[in-house]
Amino acid sequence: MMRIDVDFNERDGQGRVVARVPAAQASQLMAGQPVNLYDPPERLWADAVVAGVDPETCIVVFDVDWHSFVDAEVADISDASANWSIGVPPTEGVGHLVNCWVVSSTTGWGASSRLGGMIIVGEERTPINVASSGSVACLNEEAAAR
Amino acid sequence: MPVDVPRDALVVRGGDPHDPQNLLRMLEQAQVSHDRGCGYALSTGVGYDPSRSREELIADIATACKLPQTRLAVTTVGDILDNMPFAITPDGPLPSHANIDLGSDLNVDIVKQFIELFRPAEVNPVYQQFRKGR
Repeated sequence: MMRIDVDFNERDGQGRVVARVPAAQASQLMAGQPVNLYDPPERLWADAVVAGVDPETCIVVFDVDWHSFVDAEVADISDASANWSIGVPPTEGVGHLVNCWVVSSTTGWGASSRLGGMIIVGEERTPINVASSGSVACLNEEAAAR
Repeated sequence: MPVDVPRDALVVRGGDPHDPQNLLRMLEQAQVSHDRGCGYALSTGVGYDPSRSREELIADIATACKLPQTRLAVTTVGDILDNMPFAITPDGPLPSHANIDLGSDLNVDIVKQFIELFRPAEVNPVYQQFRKGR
């Protein structure tokens, strides 16, 4: 699912979140499409659905699920086949990595991609090995048990 | 101002407008508002209820205007109106979303002037109600 950076303050008259997105993202969005929204300074993550796209201005309107918010750090990484966002709840980060997640922000990639990596929180380094299913991947059981 | 709002009505913006990351974001948001035909404006929540304490009223505004941020910042309608060229336009009965009109010329100094109207950010008393699983 695509991740889009927004400011949750900015609303239209119906209370929907409004943002101008990069042209490369706008061209991939259409009304009804589910997306993840992220507010970098606030480190807030939420689920939303695209309500409308203006292809000329790249201004997009989102219907937000107002009960889906998660406090999370997000880091972007990419490899040859996909771009990924890794989220770590900041209040639970050290020693509580079971709530980490990995989300692909690239559409159209293969259904069986895997990603290995390292989450570093302070001086703690925790290897992760994720297997994807659709566009959302979960930590494997070994990592989830930490 | 098309809607009569008392000068001591509270104006709330989610997050910390004093965070340096927000200056250019707010400049861009005002431009987006303009490009959507709404003038150079930034979103806030506004509320007035003399029967409620300040804390209760902030909670009412944050709930009604769906402010999910952990922090928020507060000013008053009077402080807004005393700073030309700003104007406030609530969408409806208070508490309500309200656009702060920044005037006809958008620049960094205007946005800084807007930011300085807000007191230091404080904890949003109702942020938990927007968290997943609540």
